[in-house]
Amino acid sequence: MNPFVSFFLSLGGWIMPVLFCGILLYSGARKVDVMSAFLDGAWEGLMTAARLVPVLAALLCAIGMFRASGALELLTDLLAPVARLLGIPVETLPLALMRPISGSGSLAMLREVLETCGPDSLPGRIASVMYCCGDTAFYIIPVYCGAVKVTDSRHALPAALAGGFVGTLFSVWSVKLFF
Amino acid sequence: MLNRIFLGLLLFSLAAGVFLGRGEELTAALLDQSSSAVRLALEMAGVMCLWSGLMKAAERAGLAKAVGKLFFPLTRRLFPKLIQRELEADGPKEGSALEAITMNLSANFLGLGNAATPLGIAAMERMAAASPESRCATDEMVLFLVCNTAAVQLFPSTLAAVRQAAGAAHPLDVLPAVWLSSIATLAASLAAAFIMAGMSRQRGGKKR
Repeated sequence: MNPFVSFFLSLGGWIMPVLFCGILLYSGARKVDVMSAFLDGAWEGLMTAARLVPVLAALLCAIGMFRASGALELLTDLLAPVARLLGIPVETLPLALMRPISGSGSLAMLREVLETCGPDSLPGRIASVMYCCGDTAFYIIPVYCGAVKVTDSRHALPAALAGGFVGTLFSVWSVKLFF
Repeated sequence: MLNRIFLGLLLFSLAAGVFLGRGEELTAALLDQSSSAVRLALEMAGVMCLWSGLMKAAERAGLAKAVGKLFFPLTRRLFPKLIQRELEADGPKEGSALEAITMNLSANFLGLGNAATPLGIAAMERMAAASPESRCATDEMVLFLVCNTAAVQLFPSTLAAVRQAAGAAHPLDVLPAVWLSSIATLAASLAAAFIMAGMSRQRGGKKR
């Protein structure tokens, strides 16, 4: 195993415990009643989680239907000529389309591209970059808004998708630039 | 807008399902996913408790404020009205929207995906508290949402693990490209949000 990568991975694994203990110990040192502060906050968190169930039910059903319907394959076929025009490898197109919709879905697609094309191929590298830039807008925006009962998110989703589109193009260009 | 996009997504999925004859898969997806909503919320409840509790401790210790200062050059430009409101209110230091925003952005930046959600919802709650009646997202909320969907990450640990597992020679050689593209995504999302906010004002939409 590459030592730099293993160091990097182990670093990622330490962030949570260090933050958890660090924040609590620091607060304790600043004479904060750590336990009651934690419990006050945790109670608020629990209430928020309960309010999320209806939003999640609606959202996961819509996303689940999209994934089960084969709509992605249809979209990929439809958009393939456009992708070729923009220089996006067709292998990475399903990932680019899935990225704003589902996190687990796009991870599965990244794995597939890495397996079929190889991690060090051009599509493999582009897919890796695509996976990292942009998060699931179709999930984050409704969940964040639903939790505070905001029903009209206005231009949040279009703006996020526009940004994601630029990110997709940059994934292709930056990989071609660096490799 | 969101409503229409979601109905569009449903309609397209249904059409694709009919076209490809996937009725059974669709039924299974609906039943599966609605029950997994409860599972997911339960799982998230624990993480939410953890991070909301931590955040409360960090706030009472003044740590959140220090983190807020770190991000001030960025937040000052994105949320000028919010900062002004908080300066004027001069109220209790606990529960500042700006602090929740910066905590959420730093959790995102460190790649703590699950931790960012409760902090982000806390930030939304505090921004919503300024206009409790409104069912519309404010310009500031939209900017904040867009910062979250762009998700600029310092440590893409999932990517590193997946590429390592796939047998990449140097799993992290794509890192410069990842950083460049993430920043481009963020910049483009923010630009789009600003432009669209200006457009909705020009159309004579409700004043916010």
